[in-house]
Amino acid sequence: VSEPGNPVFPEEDLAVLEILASRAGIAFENARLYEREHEIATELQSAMLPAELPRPLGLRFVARYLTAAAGLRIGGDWYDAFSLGDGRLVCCVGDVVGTGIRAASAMGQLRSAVRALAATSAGPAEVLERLDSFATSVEGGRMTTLAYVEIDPQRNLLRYACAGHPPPLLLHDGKVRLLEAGRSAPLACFRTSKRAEAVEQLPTTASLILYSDGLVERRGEPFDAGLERLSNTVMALARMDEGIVEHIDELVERMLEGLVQRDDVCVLVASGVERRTFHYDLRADPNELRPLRQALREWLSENGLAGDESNRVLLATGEACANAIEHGQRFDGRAGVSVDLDLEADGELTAVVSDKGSWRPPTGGNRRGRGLPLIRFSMESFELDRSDSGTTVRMRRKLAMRGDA
Amino acid sequence: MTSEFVNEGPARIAFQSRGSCTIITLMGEIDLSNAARVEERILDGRNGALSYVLEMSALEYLDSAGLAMIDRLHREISGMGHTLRLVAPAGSIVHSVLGFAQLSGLSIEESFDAPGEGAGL
Repeated sequence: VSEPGNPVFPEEDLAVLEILASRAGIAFENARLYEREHEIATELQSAMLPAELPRPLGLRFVARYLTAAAGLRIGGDWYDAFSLGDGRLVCCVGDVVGTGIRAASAMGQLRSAVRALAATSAGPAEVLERLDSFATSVEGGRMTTLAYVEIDPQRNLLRYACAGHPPPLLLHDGKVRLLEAGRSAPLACFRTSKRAEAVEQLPTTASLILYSDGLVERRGEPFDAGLERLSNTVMALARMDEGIVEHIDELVERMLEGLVQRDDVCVLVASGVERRTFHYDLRADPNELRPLRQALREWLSENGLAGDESNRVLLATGEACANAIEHGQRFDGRAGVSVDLDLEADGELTAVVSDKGSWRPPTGGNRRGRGLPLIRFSMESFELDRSDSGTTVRMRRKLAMRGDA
Repeated sequence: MTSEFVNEGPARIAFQSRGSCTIITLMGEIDLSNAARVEERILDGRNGALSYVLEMSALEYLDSAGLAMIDRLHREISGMGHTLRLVAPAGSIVHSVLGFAQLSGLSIEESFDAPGEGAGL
């Protein structure tokens, strides 16, 4: 700024510089505050999303949440999934109007309210009715949209209601359908009609996809075009080997491809787990027990079983196989043992272990005398079927469903 | 002094001397395939200690063959006038199996603080 050869600033230049410096200071301070708010809102929002999704029998939940791209203010999207304690589950995705800390805090309050109301309401429409008055009292709660779905895995039914939210998507047999019934206005806004809800069949292997508009909306494109893009993308991914649950990242990636400035994006998928049966063949060799347990542990965990329930199944099956191996060894070292487990949606587990040897009470009292008592301890019922062609042990137990915990 | 872990099928075993006490740490899994060999290893590893601790906090599986093994170890050790203690955390599969069996004269401790090196018991 100073003139060459003259190190002293002219008076008028100094005045300009001072103004410039103070303006720049304010701008920098604003940018810093803005960045800090963005940080706080992001943190607040992630703290308010569920730390863990339920893992009930026969169902898998996965969710993805992407905050708005840098430079955009964080919105108030949220997702949630929880158990009602009677085998039914609720999943929902909502979207609070507005951005920043205020939206994140409204979102947190509404999410808690949904959980509290769900347990004491007769169904989705009543949950929305009661949320209306709550949302009115929450700062920034008005005009919140919400897709609310109640899943009853035992009766293969779902009940749902949408308050101004884009329709959930149902995927079954490679085909998709938008659940467009059960619609009513956003929360806490003027409306003349009652809250609606709808019932839908939920085949065991179907998947339900809930999302926020950030996934489908693109500037300059009609909303329906976005829904169609979503349907096509889901169908394309469903044609691959694994279920849509395994492809959730790809789904998000494909839907957002080419978008420079995106909004918050929230996706929640609930998928029926097909693999409820377990089959394993082993030779009559004790060294085969460990690989069997590894496979069984994996299957149990895939079906949402852990802790004591899982341990009991491992123990009972292991003991029955150890018995079968001892028979097999006595008669023919190459004789095989087969293990079949079957898990019903209500938690009823049946385990069948059969071998080709004929039954003998476990011998060598010292060696494995507690095998049978251990099976009885681990399971609720135990039957033994002996014939010339082999022995079959059939065990049953009603397992507590973790989603109900 | 802690010995190296030795593998015995799906199980790993280590011995540690603390004064007159020997701590036997079992890891991995014990079933019909290795219970007899684990038992042998433990009996061979005895070193004249007055008390023994079977530390099973990191043991992931124990079946009826393993139970029988512990039963025999107990008889063997108490027959010499020495003591045996079992350690398995509540909620673990090993703890439930031991709890079910109610081996006479043997209680299950949920955790174990090894006494300092050289401290007599």
